[in-house]
Amino acid sequence: MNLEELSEQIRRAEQEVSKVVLGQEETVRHLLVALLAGGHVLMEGVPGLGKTLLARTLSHVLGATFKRIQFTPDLMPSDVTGSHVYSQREEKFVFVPGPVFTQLLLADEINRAPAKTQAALLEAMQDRSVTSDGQARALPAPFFVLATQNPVESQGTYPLPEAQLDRFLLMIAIRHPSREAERRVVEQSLAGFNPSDLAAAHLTKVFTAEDLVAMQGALGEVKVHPEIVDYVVEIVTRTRQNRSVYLGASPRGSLGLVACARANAAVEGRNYVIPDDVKTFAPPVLRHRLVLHPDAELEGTTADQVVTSILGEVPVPKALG
Amino acid sequence: SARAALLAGDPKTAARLGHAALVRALESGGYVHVDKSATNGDYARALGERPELREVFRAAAREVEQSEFGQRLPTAEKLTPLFSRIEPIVERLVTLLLALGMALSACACGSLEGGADGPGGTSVLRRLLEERGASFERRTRPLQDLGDDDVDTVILLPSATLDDAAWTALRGWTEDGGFLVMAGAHEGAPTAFGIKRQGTKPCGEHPVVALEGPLHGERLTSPLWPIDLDDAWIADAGCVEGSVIATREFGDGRLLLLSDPDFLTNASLAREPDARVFFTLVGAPSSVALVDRLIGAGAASPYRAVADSGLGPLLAHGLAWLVLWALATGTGFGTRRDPVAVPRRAFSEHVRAMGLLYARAGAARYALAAYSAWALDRLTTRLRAGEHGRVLDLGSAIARMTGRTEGTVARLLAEAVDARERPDVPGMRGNETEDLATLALLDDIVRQTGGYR
Repeated sequence: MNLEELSEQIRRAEQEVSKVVLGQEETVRHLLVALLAGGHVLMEGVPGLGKTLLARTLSHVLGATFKRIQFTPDLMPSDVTGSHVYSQREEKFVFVPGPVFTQLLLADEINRAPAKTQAALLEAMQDRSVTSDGQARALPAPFFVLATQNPVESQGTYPLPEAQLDRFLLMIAIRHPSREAERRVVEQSLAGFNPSDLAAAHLTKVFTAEDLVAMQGALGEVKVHPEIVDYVVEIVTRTRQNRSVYLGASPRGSLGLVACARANAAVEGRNYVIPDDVKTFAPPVLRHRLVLHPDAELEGTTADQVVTSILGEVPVPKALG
Repeated sequence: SARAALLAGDPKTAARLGHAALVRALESGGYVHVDKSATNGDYARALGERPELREVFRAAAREVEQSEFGQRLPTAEKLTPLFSRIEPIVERLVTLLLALGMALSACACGSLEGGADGPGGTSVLRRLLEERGASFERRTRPLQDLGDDDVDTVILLPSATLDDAAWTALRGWTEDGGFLVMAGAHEGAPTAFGIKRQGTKPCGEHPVVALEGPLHGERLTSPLWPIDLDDAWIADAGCVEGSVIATREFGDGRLLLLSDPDFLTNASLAREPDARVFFTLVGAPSSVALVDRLIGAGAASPYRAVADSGLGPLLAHGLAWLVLWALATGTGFGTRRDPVAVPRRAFSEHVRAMGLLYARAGAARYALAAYSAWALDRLTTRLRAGEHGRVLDLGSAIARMTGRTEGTVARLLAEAVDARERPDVPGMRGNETEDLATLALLDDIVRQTGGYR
């Protein structure tokens, strides 16, 4: 598959998703870029913004198998990965795969499950396989986890540790749609749209999982100029030097930023990365990888503000005015 | 210069210069703010209200980015029409700014000279000369010292005010082999230069370049005011009304005259082919001195500066009066004062500030934990009950002393113990308000059982 076809297909996927999910164009673009870059996404947003609908719509458009796990405090690791169950008919223990054995997994409210259950999912995300009774079982390819968490409630939650947040390629902060978009949402509902019945929305399956794997391979054609690499490394390095930051982004942050910039360039139909690609994806790639000093947090400083200030300081590579 | 680079077979530089000219024009028009951390995407977004400008800008940015980051050179077929779209924008914005600047300018000569980077500045001239390998200085030392310095080219701007001595020095230096470039006709210029007067009518059409070479026949961008010159001058560009750019030999040196006093400003040099004509005539000097209003502003020493300014007698008088006054009054120059003692903050202010911090952090649970640890210890010691961890005993003792029911006190103490043991886990009732209520109740009990002493 060449880059032109890749760009065309991703744009069609965006259009299809936008038929159902209104007012979240930037989020849809970020999700598709993460998909292309082979990473997982953590979405943070208050209830009612369409996170579940977005995931289900995406799975329809991608032609991917979809499973949803609602994380609760009593969820066990085996509820996620699967376990061995005795089969009376076969008279032996057989492995019953858990919901993680799917191509697109929606892990809803991941911060409501205890650390042990979170770790089981995060291990699967990292290794793309599940080990049960000493036997490793590969997860389907591609494997994409869309986790959500609610930023409002902190009681009864188990915040993901920073070391595990790092496993997510992007953290997308979903905001309320614009007034115009919300109006269209209401009009869509009045017109009879039922979010539980996506088949009625006549969504087209734009590409298959195999196409996605081919697209990921095509990303190798996208050139990253050494000056762009320097730009990325400079941005990430400065997160470690910022006085508001206790723990800055690791080299995984640099890798993630380059991967997303590359994927975005491909979606835009370019075979080269430009500084805009880096600047666009710096906030979602870095915001969850920064641990701020307590006094900075007390002053109301956010990770996004730190990233924005760094982007405002780092000179963009030449070829500009 | 972008078109020159394209003609010279350097499309990468041509694209870069075209893009740079457009960005600077947009900045001078107030549409974008140039910043080292801004990307082309940022500039394009800033042009959101002007889709026609944004479209041209995006096309220019695309060519530059493609060549810089995509390693794919732009082609003349793409750049030529793109430059045709860029040029009118640059001209329009720069002309608009020049017109605005001239309307606001307080200078009677009508010539603009803003900051070095403004449209009336000379930073572009400097940069282009330095790119050609010239060393560049903005001259402040007297022109009489030119002979001692290793300057081969002097560029005289209209804002320079020269006296007879300076003109004489400049003439001598030129005769000895220097290259003098004059922007605009200067009053006081030696008559030997052969500059008669500024024309009274502008060129009716764009002046034509007479210079032999690739520029021959090209038209300068804007109509100019010709100058009347004697026969020693050779017209390099002109119109029916007269010459607008001319050169002549003078002794062992040369003179180059530009009739437009603003020819060498940043705004003007962004235009083609005007800049190319100028740099073809100037060539590649090794050392350039720019002479403008700052000439004579510098002096060899502070004493010379005072003498030149004519303030010497006044300053001497002032000094004398100061000495006399000091002798007469014997007053010190400063009134002695005791150092201001920095007031210490009251302990209660520290406590209040700490409380505010906890409140902002939503750390009611931590506050309860800390207070519970202290209060339980204090109550145990005071009432001599519950020493061995038997909270019920402590509860009974408190209930007897305060008249509350044992059940209420026991529940309160259980919450306090829970908070002390697990400060980072939500409490039994699980919210901040309840934690603070527990804290207040505990405080009440402490007061009722003997207070804080």
